[in-house]
Amino acid sequence: MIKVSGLSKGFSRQKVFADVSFEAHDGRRVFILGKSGSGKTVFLKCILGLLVPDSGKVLIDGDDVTRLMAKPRFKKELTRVRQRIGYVFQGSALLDSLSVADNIALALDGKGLAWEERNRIIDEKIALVGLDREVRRKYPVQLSGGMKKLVAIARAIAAGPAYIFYDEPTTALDPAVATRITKLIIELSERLEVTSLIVTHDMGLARRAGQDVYFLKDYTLSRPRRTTRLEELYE
Amino acid sequence: MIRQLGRYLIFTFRAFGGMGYVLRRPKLILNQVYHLGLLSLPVVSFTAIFIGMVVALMVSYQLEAGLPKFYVGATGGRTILIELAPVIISLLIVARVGSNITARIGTMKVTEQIDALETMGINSVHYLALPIIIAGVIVVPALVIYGNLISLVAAAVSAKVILNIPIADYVFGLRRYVILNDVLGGLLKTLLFGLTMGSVSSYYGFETGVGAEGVGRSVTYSVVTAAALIMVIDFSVAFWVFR
Repeated sequence: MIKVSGLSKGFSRQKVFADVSFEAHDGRRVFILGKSGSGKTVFLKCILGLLVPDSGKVLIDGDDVTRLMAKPRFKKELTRVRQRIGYVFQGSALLDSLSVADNIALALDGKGLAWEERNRIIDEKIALVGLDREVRRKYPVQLSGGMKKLVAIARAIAAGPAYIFYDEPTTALDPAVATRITKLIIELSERLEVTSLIVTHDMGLARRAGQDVYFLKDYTLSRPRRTTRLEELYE
Repeated sequence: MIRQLGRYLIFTFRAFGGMGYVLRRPKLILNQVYHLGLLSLPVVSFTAIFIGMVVALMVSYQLEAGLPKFYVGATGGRTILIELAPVIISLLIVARVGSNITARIGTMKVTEQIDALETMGINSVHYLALPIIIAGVIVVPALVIYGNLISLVAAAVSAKVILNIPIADYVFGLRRYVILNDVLGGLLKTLLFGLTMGSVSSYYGFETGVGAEGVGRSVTYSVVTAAALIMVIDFSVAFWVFR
């Protein structure tokens, strides 16, 4: 379970969000909606410990991420926490210099797997996201935006995480690929029994796949009432 | 500036903390050796030839009439081995390779590839910077040794063809006056140049700010800082070894 309490973050004098509290329960698909620039990605990165929050606490399965990121000597513990999380970046963030297979293999780095086992996992994850096996030898520059996103998802699930974070998973994709990714998010959450935390401004995605929906607006996170239409939140 | 220096030293110190990680993955170092070293051979060869030819001409020009011709080999050889080949070739590598490293790591930072490594539990400084630093320490001295040989041969050939100085005289001067300390002093510099090039270029890559402008700024700082440090190290080694 992810528990966030009193989280605040700003850059210089600009406030991004303040005193935000929320919980993501195991196995749920939790959506955080918000306009572009509302601080959704910053919020996600604060949870993961990639950005240092100004105040507040983030607990992942009881591990205090904010405490672990405060001192370099806790780096190993923080790494252990992060290895329970798969992160799908908005721009996919595949390493340009590595093939698809090597990109996915990065998630298995340090696990001491035999070469055959590593390859089996890579093939399995590529198949799971619906890509052909031939794609494993390609480099990111040879892939379309949608394929990159699918490879990024394959990489995020390679190490068998308990949580998957998606940052704008359907942005800049054509409707067919966006639909495919929406189905994949639902399928992975059910099949792998992972907790999914998705930040997006795509209301359609939230409507189709969301189980718990929050809205980040005016520096704070709120949970819309059942009767509220999502469109109203953007007004 | 003091703060930057402190951050750079901490960065380099932390990078070396990943020695065990990198040594268990020699492919990371070999990749960098290939990119830094093998791909630099043509430009190093070209530069080294001209260093040799220019040195032969300039030494001959500065010798007073009546002085024995083997001085071209003696003085030219020492100038090449101690100063010109190590410094010019290292500056060239900073321009060709250092700028590329900073731009590559900087781009990885702005496109969240470094964040991606960290989320997978991979220490990005160990994974990206240390192999580059180790490769720099291996490759820069190797390229300078290669450049030294090319320059010495080019100087001999140009002395013969342009100045009509017999190769035997040139070789005599070289063997008579060039001592082991000259060669070792020159190579000591290149070890430090390699360390500087690798660490400075990686550091500025990781320090990159936002967007393409941030990458451009980092590349400029990286090349200028590495080049300036090379000159400082050059003087320090000269002061310590050749005084």
